Amino acid sequence: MTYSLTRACALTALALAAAAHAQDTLITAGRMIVAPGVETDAAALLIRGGEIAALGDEIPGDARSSATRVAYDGAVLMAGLVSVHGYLDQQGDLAETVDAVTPDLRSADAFDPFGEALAKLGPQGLTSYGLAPYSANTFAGIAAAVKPGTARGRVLDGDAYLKLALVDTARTDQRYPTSLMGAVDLCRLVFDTARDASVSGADVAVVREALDGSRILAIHANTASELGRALDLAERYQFRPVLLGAAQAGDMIERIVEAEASLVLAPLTLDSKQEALELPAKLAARGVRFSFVGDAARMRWSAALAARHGLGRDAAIAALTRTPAEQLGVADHVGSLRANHDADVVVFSGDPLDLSSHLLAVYADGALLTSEIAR
Amino acid sequence: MLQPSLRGAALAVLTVLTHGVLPAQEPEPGTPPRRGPRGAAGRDARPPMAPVVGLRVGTIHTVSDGTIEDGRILMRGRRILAIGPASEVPLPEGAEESSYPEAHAYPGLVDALSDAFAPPSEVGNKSWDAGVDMADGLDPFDKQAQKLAQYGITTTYVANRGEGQWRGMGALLRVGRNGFEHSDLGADAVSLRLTAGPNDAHPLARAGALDAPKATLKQLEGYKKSLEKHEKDLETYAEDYEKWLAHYRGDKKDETAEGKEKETEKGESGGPETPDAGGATPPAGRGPGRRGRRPGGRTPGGPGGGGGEAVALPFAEQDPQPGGPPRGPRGRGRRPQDPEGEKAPEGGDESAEKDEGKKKDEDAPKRPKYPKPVERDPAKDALLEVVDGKRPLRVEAHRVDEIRAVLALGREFEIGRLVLEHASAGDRVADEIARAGVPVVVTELMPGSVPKTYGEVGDDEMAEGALPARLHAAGVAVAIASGSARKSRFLPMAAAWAAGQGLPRDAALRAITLTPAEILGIGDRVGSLRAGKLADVLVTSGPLFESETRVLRVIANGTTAYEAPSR
Repeated sequence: MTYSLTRACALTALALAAAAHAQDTLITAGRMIVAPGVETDAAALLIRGGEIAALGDEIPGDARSSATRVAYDGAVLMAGLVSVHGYLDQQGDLAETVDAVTPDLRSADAFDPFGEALAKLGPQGLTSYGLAPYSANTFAGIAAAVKPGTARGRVLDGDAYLKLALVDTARTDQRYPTSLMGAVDLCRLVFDTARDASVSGADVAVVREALDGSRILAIHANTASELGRALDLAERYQFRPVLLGAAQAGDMIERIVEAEASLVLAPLTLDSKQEALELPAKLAARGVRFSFVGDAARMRWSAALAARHGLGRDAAIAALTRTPAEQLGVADHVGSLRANHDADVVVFSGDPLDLSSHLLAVYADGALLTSEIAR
Repeated sequence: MLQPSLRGAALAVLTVLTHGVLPAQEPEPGTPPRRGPRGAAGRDARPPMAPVVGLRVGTIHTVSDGTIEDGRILMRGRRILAIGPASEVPLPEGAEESSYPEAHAYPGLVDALSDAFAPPSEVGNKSWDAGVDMADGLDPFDKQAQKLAQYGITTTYVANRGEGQWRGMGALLRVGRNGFEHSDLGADAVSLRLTAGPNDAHPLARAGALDAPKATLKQLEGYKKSLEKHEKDLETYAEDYEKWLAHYRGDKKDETAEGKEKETEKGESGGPETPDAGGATPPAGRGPGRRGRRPGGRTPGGPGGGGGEAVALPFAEQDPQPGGPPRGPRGRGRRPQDPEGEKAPEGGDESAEKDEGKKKDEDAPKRPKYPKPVERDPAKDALLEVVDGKRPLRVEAHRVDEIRAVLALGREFEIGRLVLEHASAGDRVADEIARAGVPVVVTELMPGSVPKTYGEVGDDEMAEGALPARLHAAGVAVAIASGSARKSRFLPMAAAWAAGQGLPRDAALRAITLTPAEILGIGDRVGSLRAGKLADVLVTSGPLFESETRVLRVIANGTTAYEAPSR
C-alpha cells in the first residue's frame, strides 16, 4: 500500500516536474535591456511559471534544451512598461467626493479584471499599472498595482501608495475643504492626529504608515502653490513624497532635490510647452527620479521627446520601467528583467526609445498577450 | 550655311581679330580662361558660372536612388550638379568641400501642410471663398516660423485651416535668401473642407454638407460658357466692327470726321487708323467712357474741343452725355465701353448724321454693339483652374462617407489633381482611395489626436499612427505633414512613429520628402537628391528617425540656410 502510494506520489511528482519544465519558455533576441544602464547581447530569458527563472548566460543548459524556444532575431528585449497612476476609465468608481479624508479606501475594491481599458493596454506593452483613487478628495485612498492578462487582469499588490490630492478637483463646494488653504490645513490636522499614538482606526493607521515610511505617499499637485505646500508638508512631517503631475516642477527643482522627492510626469506631446519638454533632462541632471504615465504609446512618445531635448538614455528607460515600479512599491516583481521577477517582457524590433521601432511581442506573467487590436 | 573651308577661314579671321583687337583679354597663366564676347565655345556672352561646391557625407539617403555610403554631392548655383559615391564623383579642382564623415544627408524636408507665417486670423478664417489667396496674408516676420529651416524643412505649404467650407488657395513657400518666400514653382491648391467635424450631426445635415460644394462647382459650367461666349462675341464684334469701319471709311469722304471719331473708340479694330488731324468738328454725340488705346492724338471732342489735342482722356471729361455718367472699368481684362451710352439718344447731330448716312446707304451695316463683359469671380476662376487640372484641389475629410463624397466629387467634375487631407477613417476605404489615385496628407498621428467618432465603432480600432501604414499597404501615396509650424520640428519623429506603426521605413522617409513634393506639384525639382534637382540638403548627426539625432546643416537652393554651432 505504502509502496504503491509512494510510487504514485513519486510518479506524480516526476510528471509534474516534467510538465513544469516542458512549459518553460526560452526567449532569445539580439539585445536585452535588463535594467537602466545594464544591457547585454546575451539576450535570453528562461520563463517558468510566469516568472523569469534565469537570464542570459545563467540559464542552465538542460533547461535551455527542454524549453519551448521563441526566437526574435535582432530584436531588443526590455521589461514591460509600468505606469504609476491612472483610472482605467473608472473615474466614477474611484471618486469619493463626500468625505475629504478616506485614506483607507482601496482602489483594488473597484478594480474590474475584465475591464476593456486594461485589456487594451497590455498588447501595446504596458504590463503594470497603478490604479489610483480619483483626485476627488484630499486623502483619496490607497492605489493598487494591477496587471493585464490574456483573459483577465489581476491585482499584483492591493496596498500600494497612499494618495493625497491638493489639486483643484479635490476641492469642491460640497464639503470642506473648498480651498487650497483648507486642504493644506486638513493635511496638517490629519498628520498631527496620526502622530498621536493614542488615536486608533484603520484610516489613521494608513496615514501612520505613510509617515513612518512603510508606505509610499504620493501627492497630486500641479501648480507652484500646490507643489510648494506638498513640499512643505514633506519637510514638516519628514517623508519623501512622490509628486504626481508636478506640472510646474521646473520652478522648484532645488526644493525637490532637497526633499528627495520623485516625480510622476504627465505625458509629453507635440503640443507640450518647451519647459515641459526640457524638464526631464533637468531633473535627470540633478539626480531626481521621475516616471511617465499614460498608455504605452504616450509613454514612448514622452521618452522620445524627452530624449530629443537632452534626456539621457538610461534615465529615459528608467522613467518607463524601474522608477515607476519603485514608486508603485513593486520593484521586486516588475520593472526590470531579473530572476524571480514577473515575466513581463516587451520585444521591440529595434531600440525601444526609437519611435520607428515596432512592437513584436508582449509577455505578461509569461503569457503572450495576443493583440485584441487587429493590426 | 558656310562651307567648311569658308567657316574655318571665318573663324581664323575672327580669332585673329579678337586677339589683335582685344589684347587686354589675354588670360594670365593659371587663371581659368575668361569668356569674351565670342568665347571658345562660340556662344554669346553669359554671366560667369557659379562655383562648384562639394558636400561629402558618410551616408547619403537620396530617397529616389537608394543610399550612398561615403557619398559626394556637387552643387552649382541652386542645383545639384552630380551625386554619387565619392570615389566615382571627383571633386573638381579648386572647388570647396565640406566633409561630414559620420553624418547622414537627406533631401530637404517638405512639409505638405502647415500654418507657418500665417497669422491666426488668416489661418482660422471661416469666411473665405475659393478665390482668396493665402499668399496675400502671410507675415514674413513670424519669428517662430523663420526657424523652420533649422529643423531641416526647406519647403512648406501653408493653407487656411478654418471651419469654413472653402478655404481659398494655399501658398507654397521655400527657403530663399531672406527666409521663406512664396514660390511660384508649383500651382497653389484650392482647399475645401468637407467634414461635419467630430460631433455627431444629423444624417440629413451631413448629407447636405457633403452636397454643398457641388452647387458651387456646377455653377462653373455656366460661368465657363459665358466666358467662352464672351470670347466669341468679341471676335464677332471685331469682325463686324471692321466691316462697319470699312464701310464708312471707304465710302464717305465728307464723313471723314465722323469716321475719325469712330476710330478713336476702343475696339477690336486693328486696322490702320489715321492720326487725328483735327479739322472737322466732332459731333456732340460722343459716348462716355471711351478710351484711346493708341498713342498720339485722340480728339477729346465736345464743342470747342476741336482737334489738335493729342492727349487721350480715358473718361469723358466732355459734355455729360444723356446716356449717363461715364462708367468705369469693369472686371479684369478689358475696359469695356458702354455701348448703351452711345446708343442712347444723344442729341440730334449724330442721329441726324446717321439718318443722313442711312438715307444714303440703306443697307449700311449697323454699328456693332460691344459685348457685355462677364463679371469675373476670383473664386470661380480658381475653381475653373482646378477643373482644368491646372490647380490641385485639397479636401479635408475624415469619416468614411465624407471620404467617399470627396472621391465622388472628383469623378463627377473630373478633377485632375485631387488630394485628401487627414482621411482619418481612410483605412476602411483605402482601396477606393487607391483606385482613384488620390494621395493623402496625414497630420494627426499622435495617440489621442483623432476623435474616436471619426472612425467607425467596431472591433478593428486602428491606432492613429497606423493610418499611413494602412494606406500605403493599399497603394495610396501618403505624405506626413506637421499641421502647424509649432510641430514642424518634430516632423521626422512623426515619420518615425508611422514607421514604428507599420509604414515601411523608406516610405516613411519618402512621406516627408518626395511624396509631399509630388503632391505640391514640384516633385521634379525637390524632394530627393538627384542631379538636376534643386540643392536642398539636410545633414544630421545620425539617422533621421533616431530621437537623439541633431541637425548639423541645412542647405536650400544651394545656399546654407542653417549651420549648427560647433560643439
